[in-house]
Amino acid sequence: MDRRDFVGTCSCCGAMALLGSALRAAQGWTPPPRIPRPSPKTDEGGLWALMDREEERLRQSSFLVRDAAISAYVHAITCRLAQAHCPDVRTYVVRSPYFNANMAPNGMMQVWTGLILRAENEAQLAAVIGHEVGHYMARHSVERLRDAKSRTAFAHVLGLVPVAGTLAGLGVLAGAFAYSRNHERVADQIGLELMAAAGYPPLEASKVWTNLLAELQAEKDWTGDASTRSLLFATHPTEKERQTKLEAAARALGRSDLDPRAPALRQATAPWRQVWLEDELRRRKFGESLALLDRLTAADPQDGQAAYFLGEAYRLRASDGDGERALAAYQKAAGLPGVPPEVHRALGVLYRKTGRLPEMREAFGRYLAARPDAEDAEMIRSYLTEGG
Amino acid sequence: MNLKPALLVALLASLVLLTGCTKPATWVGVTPGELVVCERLAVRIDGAWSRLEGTQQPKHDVWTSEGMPLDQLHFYTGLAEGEAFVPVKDRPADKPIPRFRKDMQAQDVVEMYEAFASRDGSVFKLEKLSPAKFADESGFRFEFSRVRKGDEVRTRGVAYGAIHRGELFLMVYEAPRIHYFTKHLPQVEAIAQSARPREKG
Repeated sequence: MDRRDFVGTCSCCGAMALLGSALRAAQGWTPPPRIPRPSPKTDEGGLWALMDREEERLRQSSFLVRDAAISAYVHAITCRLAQAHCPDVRTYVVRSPYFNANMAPNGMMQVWTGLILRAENEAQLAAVIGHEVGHYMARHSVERLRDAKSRTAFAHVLGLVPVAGTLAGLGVLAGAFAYSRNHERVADQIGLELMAAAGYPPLEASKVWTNLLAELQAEKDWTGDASTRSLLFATHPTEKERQTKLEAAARALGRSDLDPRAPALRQATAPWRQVWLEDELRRRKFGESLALLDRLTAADPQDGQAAYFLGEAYRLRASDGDGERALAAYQKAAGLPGVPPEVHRALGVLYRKTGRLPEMREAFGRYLAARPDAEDAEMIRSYLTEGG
Repeated sequence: MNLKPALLVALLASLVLLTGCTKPATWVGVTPGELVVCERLAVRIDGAWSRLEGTQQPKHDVWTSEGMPLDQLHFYTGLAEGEAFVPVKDRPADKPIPRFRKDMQAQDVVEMYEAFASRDGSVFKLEKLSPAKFADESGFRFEFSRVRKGDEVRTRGVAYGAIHRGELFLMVYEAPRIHYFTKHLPQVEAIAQSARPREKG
């Protein structure tokens, strides 16, 4: 049993002394004791009460992923990082295709599916969660609450929340904390140390930002719009600066020998990946999506699912030459393991447009054989009777 | 104040024009019987509908029976190559908006509508897509469900579409899945059956 497995199975108990000493050795930083529930008479208590109410809304939200397995998987990562604070933390997986995670001062952690989809391994997901746990452990939101400037902004947002409600409101509320750049740097550093202590290679944290920077650049290149920013970046230090500093700090911590646990993430997310990739393409941020899918297909050239969605991204973008790119991607995907049957429908549609009727019939036939009760089966069957 | 009649008429005329320009869109009742939507799609109605007047969108009409946002019936009448469900310009922000192409198939139109209906993060799910007559064409009919992002209301929708002489005609009805959708579905189906295209004048 390696140390990470041990930490995972003991639910952050007896190993804490050992891990704590590892952290102290790393940067002279020790995790604080568990945060007691503040008195409701204090400003911090009021903030917790508000967050409790929002958490109740989140529990009712249609956008909350209620699958026990994926929720337990992500919560286990949070717990490995949060160590002794684990009993105070609840992790919610939220169906939203954007790269985002946040943690409220009362221990409500939200992890959005667009973030999980983008992580190449468990360590990269842990990097973002660890950063948010860092804000929580350092109680940055309370500091912000007591800062006169942000208090005004916060009061303004509180006025908005009952109107916005639900997930939209939670996004606004999360943004209300608007941590200072110094807070972000501290949370980054704590996050790296928590990663190392939990058995994840800290260097993976900088790769998260490297990948995201590449996506944002691809989006700018496609749209020509320089204003593209991710939700998480809105309150964070500039992307490039952050990536550079994280990389330097991670190298200082070492531990590059640790396993980033790519297969574990792949296995846990497999049942959800198709839905999340569909959600990703609905954003219609084709620069970002193509950068992501290029990365996924390069990482595993035998990944039929990623190859199919690469074709989908080209087809939906529909720029010059994208029809040919989509066809090539579909044809390649059709021969790979793990490809969804929808690849045959996609091929059939392209063959129909170009009048290749025998190939169209074969492709649609394969789709219907795999999905006889598909929502569009009746439409597809009508195409099979065309052209005699 | 002593104004010459001609000046008075001119002033009144400009006042009327100004009011016309700045007049907000308002709901007006639709008289049952035969009518032509946006001068391009003739339909027959027998229920109580209101339409939004003054939207400045020549190819899009929106109606409601219960009042917005409870239920809504949209007509897109004759979208041409390159046009979208919303007005688009040649600017970076509009680049991701899907546009109509006349070689689109039923699936492509559904996806184009899906992109429009889920642009705010709402969850759209196609429930059924089948061939159907619409606007004198061999068109298609689709049903969908949606969870609206803003208020998390679960809705159901039905749409009829066809490409007629290279232009897209689409009518979409959407209402909360509890009570309202099934209440108005028969009327909506009857409107779809009655729809006939009108050539450009």
